[in-house]
Amino acid sequence: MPLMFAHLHWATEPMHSKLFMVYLLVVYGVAIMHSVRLVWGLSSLGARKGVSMQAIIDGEVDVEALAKSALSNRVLIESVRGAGPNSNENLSSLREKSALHTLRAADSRFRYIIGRYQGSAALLRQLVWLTLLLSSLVVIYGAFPTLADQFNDRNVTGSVAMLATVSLCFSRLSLGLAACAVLYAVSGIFTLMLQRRLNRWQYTYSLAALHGSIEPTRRTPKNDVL
Amino acid sequence: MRDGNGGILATWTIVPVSGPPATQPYQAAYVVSGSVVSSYPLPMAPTQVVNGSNGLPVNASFVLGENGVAFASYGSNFVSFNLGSGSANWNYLASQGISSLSYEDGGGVVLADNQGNQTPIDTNGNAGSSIALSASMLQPSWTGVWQGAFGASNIGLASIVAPLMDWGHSFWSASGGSPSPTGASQEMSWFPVLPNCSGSQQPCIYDALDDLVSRLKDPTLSNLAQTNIFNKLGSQYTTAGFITYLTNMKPRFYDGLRSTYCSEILTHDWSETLCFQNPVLRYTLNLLNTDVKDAFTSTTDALTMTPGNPLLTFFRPESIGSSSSGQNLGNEALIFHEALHGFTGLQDDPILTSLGMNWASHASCSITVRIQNAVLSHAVGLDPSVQWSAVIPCPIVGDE
Repeated sequence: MPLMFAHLHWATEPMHSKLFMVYLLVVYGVAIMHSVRLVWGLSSLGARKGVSMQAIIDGEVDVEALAKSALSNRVLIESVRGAGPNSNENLSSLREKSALHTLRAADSRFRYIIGRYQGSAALLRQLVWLTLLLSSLVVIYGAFPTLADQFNDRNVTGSVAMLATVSLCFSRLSLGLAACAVLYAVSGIFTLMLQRRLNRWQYTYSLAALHGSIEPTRRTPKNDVL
Repeated sequence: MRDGNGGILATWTIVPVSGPPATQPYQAAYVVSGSVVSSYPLPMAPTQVVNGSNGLPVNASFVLGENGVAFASYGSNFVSFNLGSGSANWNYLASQGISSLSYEDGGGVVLADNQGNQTPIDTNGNAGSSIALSASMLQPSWTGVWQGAFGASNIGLASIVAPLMDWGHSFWSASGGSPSPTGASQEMSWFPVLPNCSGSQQPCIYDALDDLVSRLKDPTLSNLAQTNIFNKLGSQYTTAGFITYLTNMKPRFYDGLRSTYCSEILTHDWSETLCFQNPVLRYTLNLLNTDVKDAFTSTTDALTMTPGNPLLTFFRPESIGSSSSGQNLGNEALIFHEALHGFTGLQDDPILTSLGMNWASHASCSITVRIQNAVLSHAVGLDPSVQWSAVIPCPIVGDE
């Protein structure tokens, strides 16, 4: 019954397999830490208030609040009171100049934060490949020592020991592959969310710029990763 | 006394400078992580301070058991008590005094008295039969061998032929903390002894070893071993060399199901220096190691250091037959097989291949069966009632 060997137990696993399990725990820990940070930043869990387009144009929000509201998808895009790119009223007052300054500063802040978040998502994606590589290494390196351990069992012939070895190696591989799948899914979800937030901010920024005659930035997000 | 888990039993004696003496002079406090869990007068302790030859109060000595049970001895009286509450479980009066107390596997203690007698006390405080060892300062070693002093001057220290001390799983198993009385908490034991054979002073496997060695000295059996085993393994291996290997230094046989020794040492993948008994170090620095007891699968019979001199083998106790005081075909073939690993440094698969057996279709026990069939079955008078394949299960192909 070779399948009976398929269960992995910490106490009986060889050292290289235990090291791999410790690595997987660390990876899950890193993934959870970054995921919590991303979820916190991208959701409204921080209890941030919604910011209206009118409030931006009127200069009623500060830089940090605007950037974080944009990240958490709390900037409301709606029609604004009669204003346009050619309106002389827009740039006529100090208040509106201040609003333009706030908008530009918020754009920089937004791109800085989202760059860091994109770094987290990229890290999770890189961990997929590292985990895949180590999973393969554990299987390749551990095959012969595992076979030797299995053969030491008096009641099994070499062929049965080999089947048990394959079963154990696949169990270890599946642990690694499961971690890869989780990391890949999480990084994919966050990448998608970040791209959507970025698109929405660019749209919002353009709208606000149109109303305030601000030149929209043409920078790509990758160039802004800090 | 440390409990091996961050706690300590602190004791003191009350000796008033003036005024009436204390009615309960011997006191103790169980302290865990700097907080006093409980404080109590030591149970069954003398009601008056006992002074030693130096005029200072004689302290009680302690041994730790398992599950919160500890033992305190006061001269000729010792008590089993609950470490947390201080309540006495039972009390035993040793009329000959107490030389040493050692915590035994199963929950009892072994008492050595001042007259050289060794007495086992069970978990309920009932004494077993005493064995007169005729030595003073009796104390068991790490490996369970009793040692004591002989002669009036107590200078002649010697190992004593006596039932081995089977250390229990404790962190303060002897009065000094461990067989090495350094006052440090030590987890017992890397090398738990195998059960003794009935009527013998040593485990059956040693009786089997002695018989195997004497049989291999017989020219007929020696030639069979040379022709059917050693010649096939390599020209450098001889029966005479094998006997020397088994007799030069006494092989070390232990209970594999209870040992916390690092199994990686057996294959020389780890150093004994880095295998710690200290509980804190074991659960941190040795977290990635596998204990010998965990390396034993449900059907593993023995694990041997390969190569190793002296021979170091951990056995499953159930795999050792007690028939003929251990001197039977199965035991001796098993020792022969395991000793081949220690002697040659070869693992099972190259030995099988050298002996002309396909490792894919044979199990490692096929080596034992081959030794049985090709060598030991020709030994005159060797008890065949315990043998591999016929009695002890082993998948057989037919060419063993």
